[in-house]
Amino acid sequence: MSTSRAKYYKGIVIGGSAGSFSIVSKILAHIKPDFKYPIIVCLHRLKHIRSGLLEGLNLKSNLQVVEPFDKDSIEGGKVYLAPSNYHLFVEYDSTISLSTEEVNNHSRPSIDYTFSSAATTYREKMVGIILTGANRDGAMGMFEVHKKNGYTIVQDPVTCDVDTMPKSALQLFTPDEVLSPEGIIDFLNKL
Amino acid sequence: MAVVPSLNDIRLITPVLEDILKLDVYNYALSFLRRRFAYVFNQLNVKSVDSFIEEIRKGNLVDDFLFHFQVSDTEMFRDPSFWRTLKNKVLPRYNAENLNIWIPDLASSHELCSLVVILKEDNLIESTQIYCSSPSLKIIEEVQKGCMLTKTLEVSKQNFKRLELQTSFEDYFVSEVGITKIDSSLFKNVKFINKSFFHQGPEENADIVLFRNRMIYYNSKLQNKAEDEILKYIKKDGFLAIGIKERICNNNVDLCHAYDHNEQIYQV
Repeated sequence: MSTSRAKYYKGIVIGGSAGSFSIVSKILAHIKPDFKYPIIVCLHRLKHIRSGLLEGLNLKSNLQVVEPFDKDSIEGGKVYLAPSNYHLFVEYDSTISLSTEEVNNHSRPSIDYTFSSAATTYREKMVGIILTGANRDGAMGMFEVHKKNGYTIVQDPVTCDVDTMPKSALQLFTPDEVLSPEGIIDFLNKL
Repeated sequence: MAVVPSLNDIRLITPVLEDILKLDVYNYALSFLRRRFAYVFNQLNVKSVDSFIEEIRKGNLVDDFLFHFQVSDTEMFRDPSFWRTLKNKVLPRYNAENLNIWIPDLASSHELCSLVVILKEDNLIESTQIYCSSPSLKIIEEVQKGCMLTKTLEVSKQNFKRLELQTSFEDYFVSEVGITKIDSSLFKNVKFINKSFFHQGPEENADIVLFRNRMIYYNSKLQNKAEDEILKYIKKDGFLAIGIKERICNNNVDLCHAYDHNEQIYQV
C-alpha cells in the first residue's frame, strides 16, 4: 500500500449512499483519536429528516462529528457531515459553503459536488474515498479527484451492500486503492 | 459543450453586470459564481463568455439572466418544523394586529405560497400585507401565475403533511390539465417590488422577514451588507428568519437575538 504520494493531506473526503452509514460509523469508531486531518463526509440522506444521522455517527466516533453551518472554517481532527437538503462545497479559504442549488443525480447533498470542490481546492493534497451506494453520484467527483492527483480509494465492491457507486467510479478511472472497510481504516490510521 | 467560466472570465463578466444590470456580484462567493454562470450559460445556450457579455451589453438576455441566476427555493414548506414554529410561536403574537411580512429576495413561488397557506390557516391572510422584492420581472411574473413546478410538487405535498394541519393540500391548490396552481385569492394582499432589496425596501417596515438560504451565496462582506439593509426595515421586536444553516454576522449579533435557535429565527 502506497501512502507516499503526498507528504501531508489537507483533507479526507468520504462519499456514500445506501449501506454507507454503518461503514462510516465503523471508520469513525476505529480511527485514532488524534487523527489530524479534517474528514468531510457526504452521504445521501432523507431531505426532511434533519436529526438522527449526526447523533448516530457521534455515538461511537473517536472524532467530533458536526453538521457545519455555511462559512464555517474547516479544522483538523473534526468530521464535517453534509446537512440534509444542502449541497456542501469546500472553498479555497478552507471554509465550507452550503447551497440549495438544483439537485444533482437526484441528490442534495450531491457527492459529486463535494468531491469536485474538494479536488479543486485541495488538489493532490486530499484523499477521496467512495463507499457503497445505489446510484452513480460520486463517481464523476472521484474522477475529478483522480485528475487532480488526489489519492483515490474505492470500497471493494464485494464488501458493498450495493456496489453501483463504487463500480461506477471504477468504470471511469483506476483508483490508487480498492479496499475493504477494514483496509480503509488501516490506511487512514497510517496517515 | 458546456461553457464553464474561468476566474478571469468572471472578472470580465462582473463589471458588465454591475454596469448594465446594476447587479453587484463582486461579493458573491467565487465558487458559486463559477457554478452559477455555468448553469445560466447552459440554460440560455450561451456558446462563449464573449457572446454572453455582448448580449448583456445589447440589453438582450438581461431578465433571462436574472431569472436563472437566482437560485430557486427548493420546495414548498422546506423545513416543516420552521413553518410549524412560525405558526405556533411567532404568528400568535399578531392575532389582533395588522401584519407586514417581507420576502426581500423572492426566488420562486415556494416560499410565498407556503407563507400564504400558513396565514390562511391562522385567519391572518386578510390582515396581512406581504411585500416581495426581486430584481427579475420574469420571476415576479412566474410567481404571480401561482403555478407549482411538477418536479417539486410531491416533496411539497409531503412537507405539507408533516405540518399536521387540519386542512388538506387540495384546499389551497387546484390541479387543472396537469398544472397545479395556488388559489389566487391568497395573493390578494401581496405587493411585488421589481427591485433588488439592496436598492429599495418595502413601503412599510416589516414585522417578519423571510430571508432563508439567500446569504449562503454571498461572501461575508455582502452578507453583512444584506443584513444591515434588511434590519433597517424590521420593526422593533420584529422577526428575521434565515436558513437553518446560516448564521447572523458577528457585526449584527447585538442587534437581534435568537428567538428560536433550531429554526434560526431572530428577534430584533
